[in-house]
Amino acid sequence: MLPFRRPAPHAIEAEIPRLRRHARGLLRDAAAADDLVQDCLTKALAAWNQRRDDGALRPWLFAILHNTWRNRLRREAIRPDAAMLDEDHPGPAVSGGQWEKLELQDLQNALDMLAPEHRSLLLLIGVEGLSYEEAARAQGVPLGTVMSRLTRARERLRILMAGESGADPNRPRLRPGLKRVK
Amino acid sequence: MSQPESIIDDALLHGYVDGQLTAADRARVEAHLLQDAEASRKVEAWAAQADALRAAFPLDEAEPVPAAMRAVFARPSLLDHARSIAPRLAALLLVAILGGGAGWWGHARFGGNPLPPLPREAARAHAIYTAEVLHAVEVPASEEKHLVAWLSKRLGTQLKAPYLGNAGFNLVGGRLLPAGRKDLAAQFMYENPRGERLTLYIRDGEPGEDSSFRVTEENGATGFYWVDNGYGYALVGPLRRDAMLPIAREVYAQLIN
Repeated sequence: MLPFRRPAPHAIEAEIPRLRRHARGLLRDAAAADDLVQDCLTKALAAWNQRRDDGALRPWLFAILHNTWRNRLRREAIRPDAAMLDEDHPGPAVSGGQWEKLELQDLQNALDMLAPEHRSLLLLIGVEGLSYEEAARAQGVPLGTVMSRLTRARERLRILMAGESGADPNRPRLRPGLKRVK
Repeated sequence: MSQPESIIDDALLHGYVDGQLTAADRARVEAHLLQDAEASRKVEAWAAQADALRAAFPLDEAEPVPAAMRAVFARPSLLDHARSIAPRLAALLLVAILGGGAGWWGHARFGGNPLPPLPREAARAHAIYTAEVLHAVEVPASEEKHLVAWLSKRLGTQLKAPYLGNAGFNLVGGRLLPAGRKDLAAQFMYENPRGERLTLYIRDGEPGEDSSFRVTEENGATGFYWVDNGYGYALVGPLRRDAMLPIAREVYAQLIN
């Protein structure tokens, strides 16, 4: 079958399953997630020759995925109802007692209620197993920010899963179209 | 992440949960957790979260990668380029072989007809476009309706892109091609999760009577050919004849219905 043999796969290709998994965690919608990964792969390949650290392919790819995703969020934030970039975004209000069990659906709902950066961080560290330094590189923030984000993310998730509302009642909701963009 | 002896902060607790501590720090945290119930509850909750997350997002390395994603890896470097033309050279060789086998077709069927033999043309189109990664098709399968309507209009007959999902092949898309001096051909391309590609080539202006299946099998590629009502059909793919035959039958059955 020589005429139809494909060339040796690119090193990035081995990372595709992880990138897709992470994108699905970020976006939930599988088609939108694949679209994001597709964008990420295109950018990664274009930047391949400028890559500095040859040892750490995975954090490098996750950084590109993260940037691509952030840019999309920023674009979507122009529209009302789109995800907010505010780190302390409280998410939609939920009734008490909704998060009693650590079940899959609950977990995903709770994840969705976290600030996007918090959700991303929990997935990078908890699921992808990135070190804190690698996660900091992926998110493009200092290590200290990763550690404080991690505490806030885990504590909020703990509250959500324990049956309390994730919404902060003292915090005024921003009007659609006037969302803060950092 | 080393801290003064007495301070156990959240960073250390996270490190403990995520297994990112040195042995000395881990021992320190463990000793501290025995005395601090609140820290202990925190660590337990965080660890449960991490476990639940891992369970919720299992890694599926066997999941087929969409063609569009694979297409991104279009061999940009010079070395890769050299590698990329190897399959084309091999494909040209295949064309030569199939073309040789096609001689009988041209002589037997067309005499001096200006249309090049169907097997050779279909094999050429197959070899050229299945080797393409980025531009394998002109219109992608996501616009199947438009694709079929367009090709039907240009070929002057109601075409169909047969459904070959049961054989594991999904439509990639299709394109319009010239055939001879004034006729046209359509090509539908299919791909299975292993990246093997089939093409269905349909040509207008095919002289001669309706025929049954003819087969050429060279160098790992098999072509099935037939003529129906003035149109020539060719299914070409890198499968053996026994694997191709049921697919060819399926195509034939769907096209006449």
